Amino acid sequence: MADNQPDRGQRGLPGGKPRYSAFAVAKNSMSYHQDWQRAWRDAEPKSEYDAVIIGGGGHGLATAYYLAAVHGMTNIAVIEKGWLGGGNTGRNTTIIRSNYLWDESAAIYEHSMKLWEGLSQDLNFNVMFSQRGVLTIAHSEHELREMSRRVHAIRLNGIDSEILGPAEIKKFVPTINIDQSIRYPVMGGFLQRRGGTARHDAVAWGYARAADDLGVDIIQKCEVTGLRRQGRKIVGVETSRGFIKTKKVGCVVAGHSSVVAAMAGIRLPIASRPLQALVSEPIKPILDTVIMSNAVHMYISQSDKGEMVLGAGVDKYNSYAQRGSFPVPEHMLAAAVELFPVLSRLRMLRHWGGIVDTCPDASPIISKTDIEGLYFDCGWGTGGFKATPGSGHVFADLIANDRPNKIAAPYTLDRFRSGLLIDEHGAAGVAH
Amino acid sequence: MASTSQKSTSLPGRTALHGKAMTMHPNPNSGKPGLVFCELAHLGKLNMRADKSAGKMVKSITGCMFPPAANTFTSAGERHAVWLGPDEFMIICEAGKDEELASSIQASFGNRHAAVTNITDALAAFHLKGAAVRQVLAKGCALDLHHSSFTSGDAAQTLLSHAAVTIMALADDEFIVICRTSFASYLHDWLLDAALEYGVKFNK
Amino acid sequence: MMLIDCPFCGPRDETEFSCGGEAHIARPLAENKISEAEFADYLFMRDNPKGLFLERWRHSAGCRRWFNMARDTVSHEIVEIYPMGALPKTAAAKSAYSASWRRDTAAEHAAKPARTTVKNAGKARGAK
Repeated sequence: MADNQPDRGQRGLPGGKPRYSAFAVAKNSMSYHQDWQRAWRDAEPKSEYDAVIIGGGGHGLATAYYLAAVHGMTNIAVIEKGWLGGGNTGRNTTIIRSNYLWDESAAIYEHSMKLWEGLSQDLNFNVMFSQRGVLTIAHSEHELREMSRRVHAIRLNGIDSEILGPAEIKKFVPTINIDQSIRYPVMGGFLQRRGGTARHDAVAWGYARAADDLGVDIIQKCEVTGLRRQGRKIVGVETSRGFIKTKKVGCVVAGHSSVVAAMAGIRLPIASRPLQALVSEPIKPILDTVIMSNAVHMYISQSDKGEMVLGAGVDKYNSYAQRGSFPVPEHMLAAAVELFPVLSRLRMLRHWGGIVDTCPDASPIISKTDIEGLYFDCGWGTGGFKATPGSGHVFADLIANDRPNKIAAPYTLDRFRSGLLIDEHGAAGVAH
Repeated sequence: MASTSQKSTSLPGRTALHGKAMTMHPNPNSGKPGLVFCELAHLGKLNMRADKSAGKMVKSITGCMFPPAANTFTSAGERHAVWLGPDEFMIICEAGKDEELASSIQASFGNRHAAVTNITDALAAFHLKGAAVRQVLAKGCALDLHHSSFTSGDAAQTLLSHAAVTIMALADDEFIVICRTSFASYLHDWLLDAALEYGVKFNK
Repeated sequence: MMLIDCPFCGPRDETEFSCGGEAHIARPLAENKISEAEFADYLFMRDNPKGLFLERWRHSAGCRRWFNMARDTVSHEIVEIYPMGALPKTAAAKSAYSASWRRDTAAEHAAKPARTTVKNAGKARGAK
């Protein structure tokens, strides 16, 4: 599979579901919108599948979709212990970009970016992908130099990135404060115009609907309690709704990766941390791009509902609680208000947390294990949402062919033994 | 007790708040400013690593008893001994006497497993006094600073608006706050801002 | 938000502390006696339990001393705080310590032979 032209499988819904379109909206209005077909079935688990994906978040659903659409594996199931997209997929701040430092990172995130560009057509579902740009601010001489190095590396990989000075930034983002006397002044920034946001829930629903259309069973409220093996081979998964026989299991459970890995005696270098986010009351449009700042630890955008969407760094202790401590958002908002004084009177409306699986090198794990038929896609930490299509696409390839492709290969679990780490703390930047 | 207006013009070297001018914002509710603060310029500060057995030596040289419990300090005139850890405390003395005191302590060590380090210039010290001093500090400090919980003789290493500090309660309305010299300007600005609603005066 | 009882300073706000990650990782003193894979396990593999976790913490804005903590990663309840260099005393924490895969690793054996006489050293390790 060529890196530049990913095989996206068939476009639209070949399985026969009615397509979404303006015509469909008009037609359904005649029957008061009571006749729309369910987007996916509430499938009963079969006794056996060709592959089982554990985890019904964006990455898991994308994996299942590409297994069916690209590799023709339709006798598969996605098993989700809660409701689909209810984990980190529903809790992130929706930022999408591919401006990472190392070649290996450029490969996977840009692969994902190219899939984003066309995803709504592939899935016949509007994921609201908005390429409004992602601008990362530099606040010191050091950051300016570091930024320059990064921009060169990014462009050498054929990915768009440009440097802006304070005046240009002010033109691009009228509400930003470029006063040079503040504690962390805006000294410059680098912009990826093709970056932006998407509607996180829509991504999960779009993949679920398209996968279901191809025959994939999506089984919610079903918790995996064990991984049954015969020797060093997977033979099936134990679940709260019974045993399911299968020879291939893909684990895509993010913050719970260590829990599932332990079911097979597999060790991971992952630490599960809280990552918090919050939204403000909705206001008229004041920000039409995404701003990230490593120094002041914050990233911000404005949703289509008008809410300011804000996030910061992880809480620095392990947790599965889906909540963190107050000083993190407090610290972040102080910085946000200094950069965007117009936010100072805004009320914050909702605040929540997720469980992010962080890796020692801030890069993911997409890997076989030493148990035949058991595969892991995890360790995305705070940067998983942007990789949703790319991760699903290469993980499906790994599961279908039992070997990683060129893009996935560097992310093997073995790299922690070989020392070939891919250190992206700088690019993951603020959130790690 | 440290005096409120300590002039050290005879000592060389800039102080941490060099360049800051006397500032005054009147109490909006009339009356005295809720907070009056100044720098204790060149206040002598020594870090000591030694265990309780050093108590007698400390008393004979500095005049201060060894701090009896965690988070407390003892005093003898303008000198204080502040508990910082199970085997660590800070000796505070009048400006200009730090080197002499450090030498005496060093000389008395003998074979003792101990260390004394002169950190007079590494840290800056503020003297704070006024009816609103506890409310002002509480704006940036998570400790319970009510006068019934943090009384005279109590000390703590903690955070004051993100800056690492050692605070000491001298009386109900009187504190010493010590921070890294590089944070002194920041804390000065923060104190002025935090105390604005009570009326504040910074004395040079 | 956690209130952490520093063994030296008493109860203080979580913001005064930094978390040092998994506790009781013995550094293998004889590094050339274990394989590279085993050394990589020591360096990178980490316990990440959903439940009781034994961690190291430092009172970074206070006395700066280190101590150990047994904390539940779901409820954030602090079950026990015990000195650096010591082992926990509560039943749940002791059991978390003994049951950890790390007790049986080559790195731990290479660190301090005496450690492996903990009573569960011979316990079979398998899927949990």
